[in-house]
Parts: sequence; C-alpha cells; structure tokens
Amino acid sequence: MANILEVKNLKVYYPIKGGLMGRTIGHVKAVDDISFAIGEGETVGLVGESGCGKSTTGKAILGLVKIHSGQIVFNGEDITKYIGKNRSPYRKNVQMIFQDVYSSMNPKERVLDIIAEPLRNFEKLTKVEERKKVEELLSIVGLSSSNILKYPHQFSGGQRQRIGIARALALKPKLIVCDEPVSALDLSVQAQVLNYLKDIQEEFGIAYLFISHDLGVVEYMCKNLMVMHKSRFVEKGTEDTIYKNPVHIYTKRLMAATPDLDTKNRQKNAEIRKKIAEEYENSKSRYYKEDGTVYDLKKLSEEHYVAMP
Amino acid sequence: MWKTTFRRIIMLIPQLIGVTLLIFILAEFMPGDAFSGRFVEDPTIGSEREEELRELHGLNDPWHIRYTRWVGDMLSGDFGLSLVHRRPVLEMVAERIGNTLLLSIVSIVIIYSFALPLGIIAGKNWDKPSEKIISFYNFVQMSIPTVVFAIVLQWFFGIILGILPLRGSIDVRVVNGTFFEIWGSRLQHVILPALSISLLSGVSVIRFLSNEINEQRHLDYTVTARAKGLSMDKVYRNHIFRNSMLPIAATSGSLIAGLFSGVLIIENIFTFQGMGQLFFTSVSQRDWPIVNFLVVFYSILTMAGFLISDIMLTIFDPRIRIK
Amino acid sequence: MKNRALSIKKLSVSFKMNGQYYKAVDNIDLDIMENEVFAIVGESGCGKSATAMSILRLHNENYTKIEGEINFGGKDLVSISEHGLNKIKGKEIGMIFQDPLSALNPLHRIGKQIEEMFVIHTNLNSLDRKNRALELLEDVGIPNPEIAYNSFPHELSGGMRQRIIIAIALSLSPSLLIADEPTTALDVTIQAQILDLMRDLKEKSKASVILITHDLGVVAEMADRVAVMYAGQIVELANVDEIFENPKHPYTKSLLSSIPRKSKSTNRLNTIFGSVPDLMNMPRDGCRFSSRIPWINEKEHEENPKLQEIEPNHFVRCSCYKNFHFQDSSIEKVKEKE
Repeated sequence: MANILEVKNLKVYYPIKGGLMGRTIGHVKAVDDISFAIGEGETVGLVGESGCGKSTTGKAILGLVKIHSGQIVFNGEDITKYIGKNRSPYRKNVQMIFQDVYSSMNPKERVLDIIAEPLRNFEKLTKVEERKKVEELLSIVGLSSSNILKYPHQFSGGQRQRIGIARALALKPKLIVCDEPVSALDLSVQAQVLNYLKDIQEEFGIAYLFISHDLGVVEYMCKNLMVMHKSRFVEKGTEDTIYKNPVHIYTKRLMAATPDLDTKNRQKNAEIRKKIAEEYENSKSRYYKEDGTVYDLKKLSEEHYVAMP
Repeated sequence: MWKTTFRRIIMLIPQLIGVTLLIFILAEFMPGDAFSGRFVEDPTIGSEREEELRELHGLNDPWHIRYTRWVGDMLSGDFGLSLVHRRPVLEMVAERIGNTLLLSIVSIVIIYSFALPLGIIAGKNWDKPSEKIISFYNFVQMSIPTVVFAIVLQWFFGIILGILPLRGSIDVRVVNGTFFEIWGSRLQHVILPALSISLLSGVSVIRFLSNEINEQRHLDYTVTARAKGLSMDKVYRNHIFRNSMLPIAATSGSLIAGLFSGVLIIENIFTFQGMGQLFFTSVSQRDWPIVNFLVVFYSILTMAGFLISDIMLTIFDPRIRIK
Repeated sequence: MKNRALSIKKLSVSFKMNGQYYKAVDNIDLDIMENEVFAIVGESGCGKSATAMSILRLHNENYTKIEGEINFGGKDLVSISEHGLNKIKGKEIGMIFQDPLSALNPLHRIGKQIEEMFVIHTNLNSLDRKNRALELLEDVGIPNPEIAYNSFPHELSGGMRQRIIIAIALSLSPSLLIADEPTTALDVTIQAQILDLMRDLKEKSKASVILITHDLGVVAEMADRVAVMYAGQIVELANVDEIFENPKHPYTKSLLSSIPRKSKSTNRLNTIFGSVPDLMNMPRDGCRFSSRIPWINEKEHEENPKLQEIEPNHFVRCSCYKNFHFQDSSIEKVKEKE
C-alpha cells in the first residue's frame, strides 16, 4: 500500500518574545521532531492529552501553522514549500474536521454556502450543479436536502458535525485530518458520526489522521496508532501491539486511566494505576532524558516503536 | 511589572514623534506663516525686509530642520510666544490649567458618585423595573447632544431657578475677596459645566457596570459562592462587585482622557476660562504656537490615560500580572 | 438496612422560556442512601444537572420553578427559607463542579477561597483557618500546599484546580457531596487521579455522593447505584452491576451499545434513531422514548408508564423493554427525517 502522506522530522516551534524590544528569546517546542506515514485509505490514530502537540501536528499538515523544519511529502511529492499556499492542489486533497465545528462555520451563512465554499475555491460549477453537488453531499451524511437553506444554529451538535464532514468531503480529498471530531458530542450522536466516518472511508477510500484523547474511540477507528506526549511520540505501532503490550510508562498510564466498563475490575484497576504511578516516580530516568524530554523512537519490532534510550 | 510599564513608556516615544509630525505637517499646509500679512499696514517694512526676517528666524530652512528645532525647543521647555498676545505660550496655559483641572476633577467625582450606584442597582435588578428606569434614563441621556443638554441646564438652573451662574469661571466682583469668597464662587461656576460633562459621560459607566454585573452573576464562580452557603447579598458584596469593578478601573484612564475632549466643548458653551476655551479662541485667531502646544499636550494626556488604564489592569487582575 | 441520606419525592424542575414554564425534570423520586455513590447518567438535556442543581436551589430563581420535596436531615430543601438553606449549603452538602477554572473566582487567591467556607460557617480565627486550609490542600494531594495557598486559580493546572474545588467541598466534612460532571473538563490521566482521590476521600469521610455524569466509564468506575435519565424522567434504576450486565430499558441498552469498544470494532456502532427532543418540544404523554424506537409496535408501550420494580432493586419505566430489539441493520440505513 502506497503512502498518501509522509511526515519527516516535523518541528513546529513558537517563538517566546521577551526583553525590552520584544526579541525572540527562546522557543516553545509544540511539535519536536516527529515522523510518520499514512497509507492510502488508512486511518492512523494520534492520541495524547491536551497540550501534547497533537492538534498542532494536524494544523501543521494543513499549513495552518508555520513549520519550523521538516518535510511533508504528499503522494510522493515534497510539498513543504507549497503548504501555506491557498489554492494549491494539496489544499484540495487534504481537508480538516474540527472539534468545535460550530465556530468553524460562519453563523450568517446557509448550509449551501458553507458546504459549497471549498467548491467555489477550486471548481467552477454553475449554480445548478453546485446545488446538486451540495444535496448529494448532504445525503452522504444522512441529512435531507430540505436543510440546504438553513443556518448552522438551527442544527444540533451532531448534525453540525455531519455538515462539517460534508464540507470536508466536497472536494473528494485523499486525506482528512479529524481533530477530536466527536469529543463534544453525546454518546449516541458520537456513534452516529463515527459510523459515517467509517462508511465514507469505505466508499471513497479516504485516509484519516484521527486525533483524539479518547482511547476507546481511537481503538475503534484505527489500525495504526501514535501516542504523543510532551511534543514527541512515545510509542508508535499497530493498535493491536500497543494495546496488548504498552511499553512506555506514559502509554501505560494513559491506558490504565481509561475507564473500564467492567465494574468487577474496579479495585484491580485502581491498584494497577497505583503501581504504575509508583513505577513512574521510581523509573523516570528510564523513560525520560535528564531534562525531562522524551527519547527518540527505538524499533522493537516492525510494528512497534517506543521512545527509550 | 515595572519592566512592562517601562516598556510601555518607551513605546510612547514613537507615538509622540508621530503626533508631533502630524501636527507639524498640518501646520505646513496652512496658508501663510507668522510674518505673512503682518506688515501690510507698515510701509517702512517692505517685502525684502519680510524675506530677511524669514531667513533670520529660519522659516526658509528645510522642513526637517524646522521640525527638529521645534521639538528641540519644546524639550528644553521653550514653547514659543503666542502670535496674537506676544506672551509665552506656557504662561498663558498656566493661567488656565487650574480651572480646567478643577472642572475635570469635579466632573470625575460626580460621574463616579452617581454612575457607580446606578450601575450597581441596574445590574443587580436586571430585567426588573428599577433597571428598566435606569436604562430609559441612559437612553434619553445618550440621545441628547452635549450642546443642547448644556443649554437646557443653563436655562433651568440659571434662568428659571436663577441659582447658578450662566457662564464664566469666577465672579469678577470677588476676585480680590477672601479665600472662601473666591472658592465659593469658583465652585458655583463649576457646577453647571461639570454636570453637563459628567451626566453624559456617566452613561457609559452605568451601562458598562450594569452589563458587567449581570454577566458576572451568571458565571460559574458565583454558583460556587452560593453553594458555599453565602447569601446572595454577600455573593454580590464579596465576589461580583469587585470582579465587575475591574473593567471599570481599567477604563477609568481612557474615560479621563475622553473627558478632556468633552471639556473642550463645554468650556466654550459656558465661556469657562479654561484650556478648552483657550484652544478654541486660538484656533479662530490662528495662534498656531498655542494650538500646537495644546494638541501635543492633549495627545500626551490621552496616551497617559490609556497607559494608566493598562497599569491599573495589571495591578488589579492577577491573570495578566507579569511574573 | 441503611438510612437515607437524601430523599427526593415528586421533584419537578421547570425553566421559564418565552414566558412559559417547561419541565426539565418531571416528577422524580429518588432515595440516596448513606455512604453510597449514586450516579445519575444521561445525555445532554436529560435533566440530570437540573436535578442536582435543584437540591441546593442553585438555579436562577427568576426563571426556575421547583416543585416536590427534597428531604435532608428532617428538612425539606424545597420549602426551607433562604437563610435555613444557606446553613446547609457547603456545611452539610458540598458541591463539585464541572469546570474547575470558571468555578473559582479568578481574582481571589486559593487560600481565601477555601477559607471562605470557615468564615461563613465557623468561628475559627484566621490562623486556624489557614492551618485547616493547608491541611485540606494536603488531603487532596496538592504537592506544595503553601504555594497553592497563595496562588491564583489561573496559575494552577486543571487537575490541581479540581483538587481545590474538592478541598472546598470537603472543608466542613459534609455528609452529602454532589459532583456535577467532576471530570468532564479533565484529561484522562487526571480524571483517573481525581476519581481515585474522590473514592479514597469518600471511604474516609463516609459521605454519600451524587455523581452526575454523561460518561458511562466514570459510572462503571465509581457508582454503587445508577439512575439513567431520559427526557426529564428516570427510565432505569438499579445497582451498577445490573445496569452494565443486565440492562433492561431500550435507552440504557442503546447507550451501552453505542460505546466504541475494541471487541466490536468490525461492527458498526449502534446509534439511536432521531434526536433528543428539546425542552420546548418534549413529549409529555406515554413513553417518551417511543419516538426513538419507531420500529417497536405501539402496543408494547404503556399508556402512562411508571417506574416499576421488575426485579429486586431494579426499576424500569414502560413495558416496552420486554420485547425490545435493536433495529434491523437493513432498516438502519433509513435516513433520519429532519
């Protein structure tokens, strides 16, 4: 399977301004030297907690933040230079679904305009064609064409997220970056959106970079997985190997912290968490460098990489 | 915090250069200069002599030299002579500044002493009759132009009731009187102009504060405070009021800066002997040294007002305190 | 037999919208026992938070009507005077909120916010207040109590802030703790820490906890008994094991089957047909869930469904649970009517 996207040694640094004249006196390393690849039609999960750099990674791929260094290769072509350019074919092929989809929509625009916006940027369609296309997109996400003239506030959270998906689909992209697409939604609505994402992937062969803090959702959606912590990857591999055999202490903590639906395991889970917390305190040096940063990834097997010395 | 303050002050320098440049350029575009037309009626001075004088006073120098000379003079405390009165600008301003200061201070006192309570009442009783009445008052007050409002006050207090003087800043008959006579008269004269300024400027304070209180009341931390067992009155007193005053304190600087422009107009209506009146007469007499000085002076005051606002905010709001 | 810590009878909470009152909580009966964690779970708009907030009457009084009885320590919290309720708030019933940043006053130091509890309810002098506050900070696992004491809320992390909120809630050892989505705003690892902390503290203090949450994982980790709410009503109430292993009501079953889990990753997740009706369009008669399971024959529903004990300590509303089955996957493709 060919890779649709390859990210090589990506770094995103934000300058810290200081001093009397507001010079740059240092950098916040939001993303610090990460590499990964996404195969065609594949879903790769990116998990981590708030502030770990996972959203910034997504934004960097879309050219929404300035890349400090590194390379982004799309479909075999190095597009790092064009990434910020508005109407490059790359921007047509890579789309994004946001967590807070409502704030990504202009409240004064109708559904028709919201979904048609990417079409208007890239394709010259007549009014009639455009409308037909939008209706088609709405039906893909299970919304009837009678909604086409409504405004975003007239929809529920789940419906809005589906409109966001329809907008992302408009240009038949090869890759969609899904940034916490379901974390603001109720359980049953979340299930609906996840189902649609899976259906669409099957139908159109779109690859997803699925960014989430929810291990359950990632487990359900993804085959390959990257665990991000302190702006770097601590573990990378197939979802199977990582879930069965987490090696890095952070991955272990994350997994032990995820609530278990089996009430009988309650006591056991609390004890496991306690043990892992102790291990974390006692063996920091095994997992983190002296300055507290994460080591480079080391290969354990073809399917499993972990950040250890 | 001192570092930030210092940086803000440093940042004022380019702003000041901008303002002075602007004033200088505007003055450049004004037709004529200090000598043009001056000697028309004096046959002993011909146009050649006029040209000599220009050369002597450096009026023919390139603009940047004249600009730096002007700024340099100001920095060394020399603000030039009034063209009309042939007296130092500084002396003329000094005569007036006391009155303007008095008017401003009285206005501020009036603003805060009536606007804060009204804002609190309206904010506490949102959607209730008392708030509706205060909002209606605000609405009426806002839709009246300053001039009209001042004239109505003059008519009511000065003519109908006849208890307050219509214009001027002091009764000429008491100029040489005792301390109490002088200050009594001054205060009497300052009341009407101060009322005209403060009732109008107070509207924004009332609206701002009542909105803020109403907003704060719905924030989660007030629910926490209530869940602790505080009565609603105490929630207001211990939490909501202080948090709502924050933006008021923060805007006080700009309010005061804004006050000066109100003072400009009001002083003229009441022929109140202050800087605003001086400004207007100087403009109509093309007395550029005075006008230029006042514009620079007001610019500095406005900038200082905003600076004070920012500093107040850093003092009162721990969230933006610089570590 | 355990004693009741709190007893809710025929509680209704209505909100005023466009000049009219709408019931967000409709005729609820609940008993919270001593020393138990009672979870109320449901999706947004089901009335779980409205129920919790009504116990201390924390809603905006101008827009809310509370009916029924809430018995606590021999007093009815619905009818008790404001003054009487203020003596119970904080002291006997503590409250933990969802967003620990906005729940703290941004302009007051942490120490002051904790000590406020002692100022309101005790006669402790300032030195004792400070010592108690520092002890509390230590109890909730804050590494440097002195530093936290002098900090402002924004200077602490989300997890630390939630510990502060818990410290405030526990400061006077209340016998009942109401936790409204206590970990929703937190990261998973922090959530686990806070839940472990709450469990430990509860064991020590013997307090009862009412846990409001939308997260079934949190319920499974914390609760002894669970009430599932839908559209302002309790639709199922049972011990936590029963809820997860032997769910009866169609809504509970649907919720559980829509949780993404590894074992089911090849299947599609279950979704619930239609959407939650908003407050103004809430169905008032019959089984409120019937519109979400239209493939179930109308005859299966009761005309006036009540919560019934179908097994010991297991209550379910409406007889539609008996012959409930999930929608046939072939019909599932039927798109929603918007």
